[in-house]
Amino acid sequence: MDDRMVQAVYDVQQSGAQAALVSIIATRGSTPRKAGAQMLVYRDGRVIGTIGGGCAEAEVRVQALTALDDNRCFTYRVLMTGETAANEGMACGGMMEVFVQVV
Amino acid sequence: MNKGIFSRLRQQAGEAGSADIITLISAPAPQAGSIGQMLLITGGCYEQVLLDEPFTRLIMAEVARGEWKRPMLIPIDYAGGQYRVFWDKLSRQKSALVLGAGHISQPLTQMLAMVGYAVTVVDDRPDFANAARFPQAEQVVCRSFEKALADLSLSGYGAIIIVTRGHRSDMECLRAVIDQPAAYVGMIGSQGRVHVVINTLTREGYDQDALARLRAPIGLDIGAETPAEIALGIVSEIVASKSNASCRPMSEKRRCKANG
Repeated sequence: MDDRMVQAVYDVQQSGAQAALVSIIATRGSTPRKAGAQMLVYRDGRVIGTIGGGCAEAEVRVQALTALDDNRCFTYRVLMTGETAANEGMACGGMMEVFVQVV
Repeated sequence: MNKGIFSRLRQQAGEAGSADIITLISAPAPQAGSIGQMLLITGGCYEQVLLDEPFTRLIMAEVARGEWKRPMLIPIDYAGGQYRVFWDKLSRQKSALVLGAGHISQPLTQMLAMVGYAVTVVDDRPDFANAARFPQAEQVVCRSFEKALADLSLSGYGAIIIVTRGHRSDMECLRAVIDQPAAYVGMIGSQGRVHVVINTLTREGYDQDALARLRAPIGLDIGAETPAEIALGIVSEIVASKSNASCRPMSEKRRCKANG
C-alpha cells in the first residue's frame, strides 16, 4: 500500500466519511495487475488508483459501492474467461480475487 | 473501521518508516464480523491484536519467517477454523527527478505523472521552471542546479532524468546524481556527446559501475523525433527498468511461444 493511498484513506476518515478500499489479493492466468494493486472508491463514485481498468474494474467498482451501502467487507472474484467477459471482449482471460473493504 | 491504523500508517510514511499491514480476509462464520480488521506491525512489534492474542502470535510467526516478496495471502488454521489474511507492506509512491525544464521535460513530466510518479522539475531559468508550465509536477524548483541538487534528498528518487539545455549543466547534474541509488538514471545526448561525458567522468575517478548503469543516450529506440515521442521513449524505458522487461514487442513473444 503506497503512502498516497494511505493519505487518501486518512483524508476520507478525517472528513467523517467512508470509502471502499479494493485490493487485488490473488490472480490466476493473465491479468493486467497483480496482488497488491489497489483502488479507492468514494461514495460519489469517484475512484483513485486502478486495478487494471476496463470492464473488470467497472464491475468491481459497483461491488465497492454496494459494500459502502451495506457497510460490509467481502471478497469478490472477477472471471475474465466467462461468457460475459468473452462477449464484452475482455482482453486478458484470467481471474482475479479482490477484497472490498469499507474504511 | 480501522481508523487508528491509517493514522499510524500515515505517521510511519511521514517518518519514512516501514510497516507490515495484515488484513483479515476470511474467517469462519462466528468470526465473520471481524473480516476487514487490520493489524499493523512496526519494528517487529504488533500495535494491537487481531481477533485475539494467540491468533496474532500465529501471524507474527509468519511475518518473522520473513518470506514476503510481494503482497500475498496467508492461510491460517486456528482453533479448528480456516482463516486467510492478506500481507502487504507500506511503500512509497514512485518519484522522479527531472533536471531541466525545456521542451522534452514538459511531455516527460506529463507522462511520468500519468504512470504514477510524483515529479520534481528543476531548472535555473524562471521562464521555464514555473508551475504554469508543469501543472502535473508535484514540485517545480527554480534554482541553480548546484544549489537545488545540494538541497534535495536525492536518495528518495526512483528515477532521475537529466535533460538540461546543454552539455555543461548535464555534466554538472550527472556528477551530483551518478552515485545515487535511483533504479534509473538517464541522460540525454547523442552517442558522441555521451561518450565525451562518460570519458570525462571516468578520468575524474567516478565509479565505473555507476557509469555503466547510466542510461545514455536515453530512452528506448522507437525512432522518436518530436519531444513527445522522445519523452515516450524515456518513460517506456523507465517502466521497463522496474521489472527488467525485455522491451521486445509482445507480438514477438507470441511468435516465440508458437514456434516452441
